[in-house]
Amino acid sequence: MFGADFPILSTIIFLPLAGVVILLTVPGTKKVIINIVTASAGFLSLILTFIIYSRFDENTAGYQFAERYYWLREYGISFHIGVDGISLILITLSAILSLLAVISSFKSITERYKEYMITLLVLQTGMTGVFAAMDMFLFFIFWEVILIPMFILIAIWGGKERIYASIKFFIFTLFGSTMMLISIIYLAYLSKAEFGYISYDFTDIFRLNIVPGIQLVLFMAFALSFAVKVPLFPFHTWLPDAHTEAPAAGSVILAGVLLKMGTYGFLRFNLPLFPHAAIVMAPYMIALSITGIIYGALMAMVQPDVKKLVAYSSVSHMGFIMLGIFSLNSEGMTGAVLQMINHGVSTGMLFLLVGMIYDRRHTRLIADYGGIAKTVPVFAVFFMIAALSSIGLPGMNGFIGEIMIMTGGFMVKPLYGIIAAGGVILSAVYMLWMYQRVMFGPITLDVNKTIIDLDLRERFILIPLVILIFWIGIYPQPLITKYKKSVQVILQVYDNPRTQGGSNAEGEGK
Amino acid sequence: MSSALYDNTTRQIIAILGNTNIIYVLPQIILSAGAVITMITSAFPSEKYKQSVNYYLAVIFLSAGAAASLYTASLPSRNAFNGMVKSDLFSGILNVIYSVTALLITLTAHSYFRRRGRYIYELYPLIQFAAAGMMFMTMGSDLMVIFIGLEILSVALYILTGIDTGDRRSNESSVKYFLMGVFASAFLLYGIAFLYGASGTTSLEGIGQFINEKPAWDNLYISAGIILLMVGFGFKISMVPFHMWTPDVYQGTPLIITVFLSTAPKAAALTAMIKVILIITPAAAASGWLPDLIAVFAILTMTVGNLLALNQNDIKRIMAFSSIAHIGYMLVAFAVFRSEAAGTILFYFAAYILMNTGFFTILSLAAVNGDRNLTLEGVQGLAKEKPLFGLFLVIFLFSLAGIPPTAGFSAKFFIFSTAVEARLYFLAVTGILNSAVSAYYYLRILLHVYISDAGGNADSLRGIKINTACFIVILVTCAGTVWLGIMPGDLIELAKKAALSL
Repeated sequence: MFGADFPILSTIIFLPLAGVVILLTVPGTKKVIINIVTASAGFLSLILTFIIYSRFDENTAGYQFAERYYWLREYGISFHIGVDGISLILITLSAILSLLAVISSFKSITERYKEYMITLLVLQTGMTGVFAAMDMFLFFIFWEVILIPMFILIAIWGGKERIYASIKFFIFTLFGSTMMLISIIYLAYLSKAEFGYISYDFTDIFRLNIVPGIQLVLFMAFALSFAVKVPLFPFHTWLPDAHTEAPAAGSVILAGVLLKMGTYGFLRFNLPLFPHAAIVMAPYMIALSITGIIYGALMAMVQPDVKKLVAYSSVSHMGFIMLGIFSLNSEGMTGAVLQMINHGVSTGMLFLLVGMIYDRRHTRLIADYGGIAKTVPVFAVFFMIAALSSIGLPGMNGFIGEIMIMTGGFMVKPLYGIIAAGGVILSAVYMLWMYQRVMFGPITLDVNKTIIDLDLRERFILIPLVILIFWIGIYPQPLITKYKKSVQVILQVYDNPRTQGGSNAEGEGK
Repeated sequence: MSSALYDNTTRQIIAILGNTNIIYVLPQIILSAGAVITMITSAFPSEKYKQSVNYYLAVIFLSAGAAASLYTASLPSRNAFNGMVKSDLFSGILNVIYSVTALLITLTAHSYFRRRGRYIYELYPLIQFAAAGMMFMTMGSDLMVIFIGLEILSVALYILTGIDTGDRRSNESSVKYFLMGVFASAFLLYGIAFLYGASGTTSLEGIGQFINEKPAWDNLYISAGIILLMVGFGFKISMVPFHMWTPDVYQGTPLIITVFLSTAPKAAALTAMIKVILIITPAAAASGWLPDLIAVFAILTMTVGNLLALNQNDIKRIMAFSSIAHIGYMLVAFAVFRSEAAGTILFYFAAYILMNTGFFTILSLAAVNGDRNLTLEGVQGLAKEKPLFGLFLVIFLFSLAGIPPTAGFSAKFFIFSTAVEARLYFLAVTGILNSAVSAYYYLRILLHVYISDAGGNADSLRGIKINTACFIVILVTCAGTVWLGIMPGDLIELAKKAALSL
C-alpha cells in the first residue's frame, strides 16, 4: 500500500476536507455520525502522517514526498508540496493535536455541533498545508486560510468577550501578513529579473541573490507577519484575549500549532533568505525574545484566570523558541525546534485540562477552586505532569529543549543564557503557585466537593501526550535526528565566517 | 428581369449589412429590441399572464443578449460602422459581464419587488436599455458614441433609482443621482469639446494620432480635456473626491437597483475611461504626470472609501463605501498605465460582480420588512435562523475582504502583482493595507449575522422564503466566487489577452 507514486502528502492535506464534504451531507442532529466522520478523517490522516514519519529519510536535507502540479502557469505558481525534517515533525504534531482536539470536543460543544467539526477539519487542512507548502504563493494561501476557521471558532464558540477577541485576532494577523504578501510578490518578480522566468517556487526563491539593503526591508516585512503569529513581545496582545475566549479545542490548536507557524516561518524564510539581515537583526530579535520571556512570565504570575495564565506562559515559552532560533547556532536552533514540539505538547495538554475542568465547573478563575486534588485525584496527576513538563523538569520534554536553547543563548552572550534561566525559575513560580492554589489546601467552596473525575474518554486523550512528554524527556535522540540535517542546512550560511557581517555583494544568499 | 432586380437588391442589402457590420452590434440590437418589446407587454390585455410575460421575455432577451455577446467576443477584432465602434475580445468579455449581471439582477428583482407588493413593468426594459448603453460605451471608439452610450445608461439608471415611486427616499436618491449625473455628463462633454477643439476629431485613434504626431502632449487643451474626462468618468465610478453622491443614492435606492448600480455601470464607466485614456495618450505619457495623478486618485479612493465604511451602521451605506474602495483597488492597476494591467481590472470586475451580487441577493431576501431594516441590528441572528444563508455570507464576505481561497483574493493578488511588477511599491502597500482595514467592516457584518441572537427580528427572519430564481443566483455567484478563487488561471489569461487587444 502507498507506493512511491501515491500522493500521500496531498492526501494528508485534503483528507480533512473530504471529511468536510461528507459532513455537509449529514444532518446536524446526528451527533454520533458526525463524531465518527470527523474522528476517522483525523485518524486516517494521523496514520498517513505516521507512515511518512517512519519512511522519512533523515540522512538528506532535501524535501521528500514532493508533489508538484501546475496551478497558475502564467504567474509561475504551482501546487508544490514536500516535507523536510522540520516540517515533518510539525505536521506530525498538528495531526496528533487535531485529532485530540476533535475528541476532546465531543461533549463540551453543545450548539452548532456540525459547523464546529467542519471548522476544526478546515483548520487541520490549513495547518498541514502551511508546513508542507513549497511554493510561496501556496504557503501564503494556507497561511491566510487558517484565519477563517480560527476566527469563526473564537467568534461563535468562544467565551463572553469572543467578539472583541476574534476581531482582534483576525485584524492583528491580517495586518501582519499584508507586508509579507507584497514581499512574496516582490521576490517572485526578482526571480524573473534573475532567472528570466517568474517563479514562486522555493527551489527558485532560495537561489536568489538579494542585496543586503533590500534583505533588511524584506526581513522586516516577513518578520512582522511571523512575529505577530509567534507572538513576539510587542505584538503579543491579541494572544491572551484569543486564548481566553477560544473554546478549549481552539486554544489547543492555537497554542499547539498556530503559534509554531510563526517560528516555522522565521526558520523557513527569514534565516535562509536574508542571512545578512538576520545577522544584523539577531541582537534585536533576541532582545525582544528575552523581554517576552520575562514579561510573559511576570504577567502569568498575576493572572487570576487559569487560561490567561497559560496564555501568558505561552508568550514566555515562545520567547525561548525565538531566542533559540536567533542564537544562530546549532545548539540553540535544534533546541528551538524541539521546544516547538514540547510547547505544543505541554501547553496543548494544559489547555485540554483547563477545558475539562471548565466543562465541569464553568469557571476558569483560580479563586473558584482550591483543594480539588482530593475530589479529582486523576485530574490532579495529569495536571501535575503537564505543569512540570511546562516548567521543564528534568526527565520531561521541556527540560531538553530549554537546556539546549539556553546553551545556544549562552554561546552568543552569557547574559542571554542567564536571563533565559531566570525565565525558567519564574515559570516554576507561576505554574506551581497556580497548582497549589487550585489543587491543594482546604476545599472552600461546596461545589468543588462534587466534581466528577476524568472519564475514560478524557484519560484516553491525555495519555498519548503523557507518553510524548516522557519519551521526549528521556530519549529525544530519534526525534532530533529527524530534523538535524534540515537545521544544519539553514545554519550552513551562518557557519561560514566570511558571510558574516558582510557588506559586500558576493557570496550571499547561497 | 425581376430576378436580376431581386439579385441586385439582395446584393445591396448584403453590401449595406457588410459595410455597417451589423453583426458586431448584435447584442445591443437584441437588448434594445428586447427592451421595447418587453415594454409593450405592459399593455398586454390579460391581467393574469401580463406579469409573467413581462418577466420571462426580459429573461429570454437578456439570455439571448449574453449568448450574442459570447458570439461577438469570439469574432476576430474589427472596426465597424466606419470606425465608430470596435468589436474586440475586450469589449466582448465586458458585454458578457454586463448581460450576465443584468440577467442576475432581473432574476432577483422579480421576487424582490413582488414581496414589496409592487409590480413595475418599466423595470426590465430599463435594465436592458442600461445594458445596451454600457455595451456602446465599451465598444465605442469615438468619443461621441461613448458619450451617447453613457447617456443611454445614465437615463435608464436615473429612472431605476427612483423606480419605487411610493418611497420618498427612492425619489430623493433619484433626484440626487440625476443632478450629480448631469453635472458629470457636462464635465465629460466639456472634456470632449476640448479634445475636439485641439485635435479636430472625436475619434479616439484620431486624437491619439494627433497627440502622437505633434509635440502636443503639453498642449493645455489636451491636458485640460483629459482631466475633464477623468472628472466626468470619476463621478460615474465614484472616484474620490467625486464620490459624495454614492452613499446617499445607494441608501435610498431599492436594494436590487443598488446592486446593479454598484456593479455593471461602474465596470462600463471605468473600462471606458481606461480605454479612452490608454488609446489617446502616447506611450510616453506612461512616465508623465498622468499615471501619478491616477495613483493619487487610487490612494484617495481606497483610503477614503475604507475609512468611511468603518463606522457605518446601515449595510447599504457600508457597501456603498466598500464599492468606492473596490474602485480604488482597480485604479491601482490603472495607474500602472499599461494595457495588460487592464486585464486584471476585467478579472477584478468579474470577481466583484459575483461576490457583490451574491451578497446583496441574500440581503434582499433578509430585508423582509423593507430596506430600512438593513442595519447591522436588522440582520442580527440571521445565521441562527437560516444556517445556509450564514454559510454563503461567510464566503461572500471573506471574498469581499480578500481572504483566500476566494475570487476576491485572486483579484487583489493580480492587481497588486501588477503594481509590484511596475515597481509601484507604495501603491501596492497602500492597497494591501487598505484591504486589511476593510476586513474590519466586513467582519462586523458577519459577526452580527452569525453571533448575536436574533432578538426582536427572530420571527421576521424565520419567515424568509427563498424562491428558485434567487437560489440559482446565489448558487451561481457562490460557485463562481469559489471557483475564481481556486482556479483563476483561465480567466486571468483570457482577460490579459483581451486587454492586449485594446
